Amino acid sequence: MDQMRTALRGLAETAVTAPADDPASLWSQGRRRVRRRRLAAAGAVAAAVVAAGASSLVAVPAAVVHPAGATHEPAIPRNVWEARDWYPTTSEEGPPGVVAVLGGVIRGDRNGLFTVSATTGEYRLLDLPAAAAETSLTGTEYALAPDGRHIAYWIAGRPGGVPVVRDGESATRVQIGVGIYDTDDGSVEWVEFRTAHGIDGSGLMWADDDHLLVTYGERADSGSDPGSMVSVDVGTELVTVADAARRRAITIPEGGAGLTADGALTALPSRRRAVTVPLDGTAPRTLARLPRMRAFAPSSAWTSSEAIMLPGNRLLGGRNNYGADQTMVGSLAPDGTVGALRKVRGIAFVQPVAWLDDRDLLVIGDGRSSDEWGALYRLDTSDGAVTPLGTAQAGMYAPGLQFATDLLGAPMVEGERPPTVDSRWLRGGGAVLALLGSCAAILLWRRRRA
Amino acid sequence: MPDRDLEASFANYVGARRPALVRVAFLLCGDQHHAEDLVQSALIKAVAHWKRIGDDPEPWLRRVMVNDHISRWRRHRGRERLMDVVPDRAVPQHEEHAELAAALAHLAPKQRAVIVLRYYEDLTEAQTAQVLGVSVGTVKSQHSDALKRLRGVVPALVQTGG
Repeated sequence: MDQMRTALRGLAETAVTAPADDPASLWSQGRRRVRRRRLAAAGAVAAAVVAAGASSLVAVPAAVVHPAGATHEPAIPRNVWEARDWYPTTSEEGPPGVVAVLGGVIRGDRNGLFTVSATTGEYRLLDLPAAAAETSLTGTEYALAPDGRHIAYWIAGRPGGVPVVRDGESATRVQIGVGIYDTDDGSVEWVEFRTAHGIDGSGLMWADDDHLLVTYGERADSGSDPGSMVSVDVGTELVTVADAARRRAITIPEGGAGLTADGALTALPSRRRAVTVPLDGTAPRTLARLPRMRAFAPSSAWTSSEAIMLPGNRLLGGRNNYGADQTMVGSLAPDGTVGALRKVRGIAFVQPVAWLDDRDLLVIGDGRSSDEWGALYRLDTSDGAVTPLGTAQAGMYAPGLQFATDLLGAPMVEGERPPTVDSRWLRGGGAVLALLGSCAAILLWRRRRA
Repeated sequence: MPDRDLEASFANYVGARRPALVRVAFLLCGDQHHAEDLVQSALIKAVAHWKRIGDDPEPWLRRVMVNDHISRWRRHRGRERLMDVVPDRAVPQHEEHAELAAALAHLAPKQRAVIVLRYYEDLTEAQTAQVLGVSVGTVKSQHSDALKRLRGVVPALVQTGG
């Protein structure tokens, strides 16, 4: 290939070298180019950082958990889903408005509550001022008013002082009363029971939209007193102590109680006796003596309140059949005798929610397949038949769900599933990826243009 | 090294090696003005890296010139048009040179670069691959294809087995 080498050298020699630019001029052009490229790279990085930061900042407050989209007439959603602890809170977004469903949610290392809007289906976490830290998720320590406009909960603070709203003083906090949260304007009505050592709250129940029934025991140096029952009139802060009930140590059974048609509270202080406690303070009277049967004893899955719910004098109870919980329904005769009890077929772990009419009860229960666990059913208390209505898959906390029972008269609406992945993290991650991608692209561009 | 020393080193290099760079560039592109542009552009780019490459800038400059030429060819190949009249350009006067220039014009830029680097710059296949940023195997195949084409145009320059 010597000929090729020789020919190439000969051809190269034909190139006429034009007068060169001054090397100093080339150098200064090179330096200007360096400055331009640095400026462009810095600008591109700054733009990428600003874009990524702005997008994440803009995205953060916009975590989308508005599944229903359109506003509708207040209604109960057919499907209730487990809430996530990153959903918007009332501190961020304000009060939730009329609430259709109230339930429990684990928020980090503590328990909390979430609501589902009756008009939009939006999920929101409740930041309740001065809430007692040890909120249970089973529905016994909070109560949603029938109209969905108030939520009662136990408040904590220093006895004889004021509710402690700030964090960091938990060591000195005990239950001192009840807070009534207004879901429309976010205000809280404090009802503090004046005690020396605080209280042990045991029951919260709405008698109607404006009357809250509260039972609690007053803490003493040694234990608690047997219990007190009070009626709180929302808005007037009038607290009526049902003296007769107090004397006889009648309390709202764990989980609430039923109401008779005349507005009196019906409770079951023992497993075999149903009583009515008139709210005017007159003496309780025995409503029914339940049959002496081991089977009707409320088991661990049952509370006495669930053993009797009396619109239409219907009766619902749990039967512990050698360890297997079984739900029975029946009716009370006017003379207080109990008619035949029938088994509820097809579902287990029946949690009563509210009466739909004189005969039918809305319940949460577990169907046969796992897809049917924690589902909403209509239970016909005359024969124990159930009809599926929707899902209440609030995880293991489904039994703690409470519904705005005034809304049960309206047709249910579909409850679309809220997002299960935090869109803020997705967007934040996307912004970081965009930033890294931009930096990589700039690096590549600089290397290719070198 | 202070900036003043770097600039002096750069000036010395440009003064000594610019004609040689122009000749390489001319062989790469076959056009006098384009060759001047390639060299000037490469030298301006080299300023940013002179601290690192100043001791032996030639390989870096070769690579930049080859890449720039290929990039320019890619950018402009779609815009070339057939014309009735050949535009004025420097044409080698010697017949052998003219034949070689015409033969090189038949090569793709990368093939042409392989021929120039292997036979004019006397680089090994590995060094050629490094300049072009390709594998040695690619250099071999490009070299083989280039010789095949040149053999069809200027057989005297390309002897079989060479």
